[in-house]
Amino acid sequence: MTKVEAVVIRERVETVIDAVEHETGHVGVTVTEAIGHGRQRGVTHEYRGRVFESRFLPKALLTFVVEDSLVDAVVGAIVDAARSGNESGDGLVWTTPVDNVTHHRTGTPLERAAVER
Amino acid sequence: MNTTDLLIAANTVWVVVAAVLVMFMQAGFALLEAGLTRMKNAAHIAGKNVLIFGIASLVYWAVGFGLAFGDGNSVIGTHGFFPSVDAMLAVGKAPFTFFTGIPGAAAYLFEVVFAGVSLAIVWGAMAERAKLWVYFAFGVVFTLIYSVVSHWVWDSSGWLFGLGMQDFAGSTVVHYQGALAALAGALLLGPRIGKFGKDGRANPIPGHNMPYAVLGTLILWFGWFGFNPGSTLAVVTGHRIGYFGYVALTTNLAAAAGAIGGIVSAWTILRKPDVSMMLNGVLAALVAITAASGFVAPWAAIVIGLVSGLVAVVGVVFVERIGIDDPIGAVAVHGMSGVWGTLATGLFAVPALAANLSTGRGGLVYTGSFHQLGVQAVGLAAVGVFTFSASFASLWVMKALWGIRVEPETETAGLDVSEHGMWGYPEFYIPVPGGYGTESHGHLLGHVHGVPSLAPAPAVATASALEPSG
Repeated sequence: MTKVEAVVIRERVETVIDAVEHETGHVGVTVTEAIGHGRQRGVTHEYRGRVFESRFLPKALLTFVVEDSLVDAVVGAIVDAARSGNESGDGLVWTTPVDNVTHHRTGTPLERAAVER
Repeated sequence: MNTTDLLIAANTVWVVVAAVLVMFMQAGFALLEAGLTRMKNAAHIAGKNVLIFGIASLVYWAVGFGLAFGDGNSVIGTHGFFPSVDAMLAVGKAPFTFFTGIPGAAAYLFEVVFAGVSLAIVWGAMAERAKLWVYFAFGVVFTLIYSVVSHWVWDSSGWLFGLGMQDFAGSTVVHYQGALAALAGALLLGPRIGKFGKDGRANPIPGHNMPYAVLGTLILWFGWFGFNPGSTLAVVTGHRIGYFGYVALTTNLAAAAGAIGGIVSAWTILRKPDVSMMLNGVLAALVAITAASGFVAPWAAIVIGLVSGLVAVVGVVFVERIGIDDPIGAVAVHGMSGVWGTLATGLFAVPALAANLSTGRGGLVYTGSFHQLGVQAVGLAAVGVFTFSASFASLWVMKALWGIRVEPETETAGLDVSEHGMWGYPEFYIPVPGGYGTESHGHLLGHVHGVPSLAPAPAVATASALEPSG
């Protein structure tokens, strides 16, 4: 199994999840409210006449755990759906191999369940 | 001091206390509206109530009070602009002969807080997408429109007052008018991004803080004890001493019935006892009893409140169904319920109370005559045409010349950060004073070369922004 994590702008959370489901059939995601920055380096604030930078912008971290065979399609769907057309700040997607992915309900590791099926 | 002087003193105490209660309703609107909208607009929406009360107060002092209550003809007041010290201190003298029981200053204070409430209502339907300068420009225009109509209905020389229209504290003048302008604004602005899907179905955009909305509603309920009872403008009304206590009773009964009517309507119609709909029920009931509070019996106040709860629930859903995006529900709660309250007065006005207030006649259920109901309907029609068209026209001109809606990027990012450069809830996004990335953190002291090249500016700028300002 592979964990696909994507940092996306908050306005695209629903779009990205829908795209993954629509393009690959994968259902299931964890959404974490996140803040951070890339090369865009945050946002300019003003408070009582003083200008200051906040390093962080609101983002969302989406975590999908998917079948290895779906990884390319999932990443492709995320990248397309998360692209807003702005110069920066659209976020990243990356993947990590993960082991022992197990449903609490059944106690069966999903890899084995897939093989048995 | 003779008895008359004592009476004026007592009147003034009550009217000024009531004015302060009504002024506090701005706090209620700030919390209600911030609670029912999104986190990214919270500071903007709460702060706007301070801005518009500032605008209303100044414009009303300069010309609004004179237009509304200065001596004049049946359409507008023509005296009392930029009122002098003498005009503000005199009782029942030109240019404010209308106020026979209180000095001009107390009258100004009591009437300006109503203008402020009416203006606060306008922005409920325009929330989360209007440009900031529109608040200034339309705030001025609307205060003038409001003043003209309040002359028609409330001033003893006004033409609707002459017909005998009963609007005790302003279901029509304050709430219906605010909602008419709100409707014009919502139509011209269009819905918020994402409110309606491609198929036209409405998407819910939930408010971000329901306890704020609850507290806002309770503050408004509290303030309404100045709004309606204060509109007696006196401690003795006709031959009834302390009549304002009775007005407070009908106000409270209606609001209580509105809470029940709202939550039961939501439970039965929407299948869930929605908290925001219960709050809308309370406010709709208070709006409706505003016209009726001085004229009706306690049982009628309860009927008015219960029906208002239903009007709020059905109205909010209806407004959304016809494609209008009204984030707070101003059109339903203040508009439809304002109409209901004004007509209900024509149904339920007790003849003896109307006689004691020297305003209009008894309502349909007591007299069997449609006369009073007809007068109320004429008033609603006249105010509806005038205020909606004047509001729509002025906002349309502003839209055509300069645009009244923010850019899509601004709306998406939220008005807090894009218009004001700040978050409503900033702690999460700013380096904590003394924490990593600030000047007082040891990591950066004397190690300028060690400052990460990614973000050199924030450290210094943030620390200086946190210096004591005075």
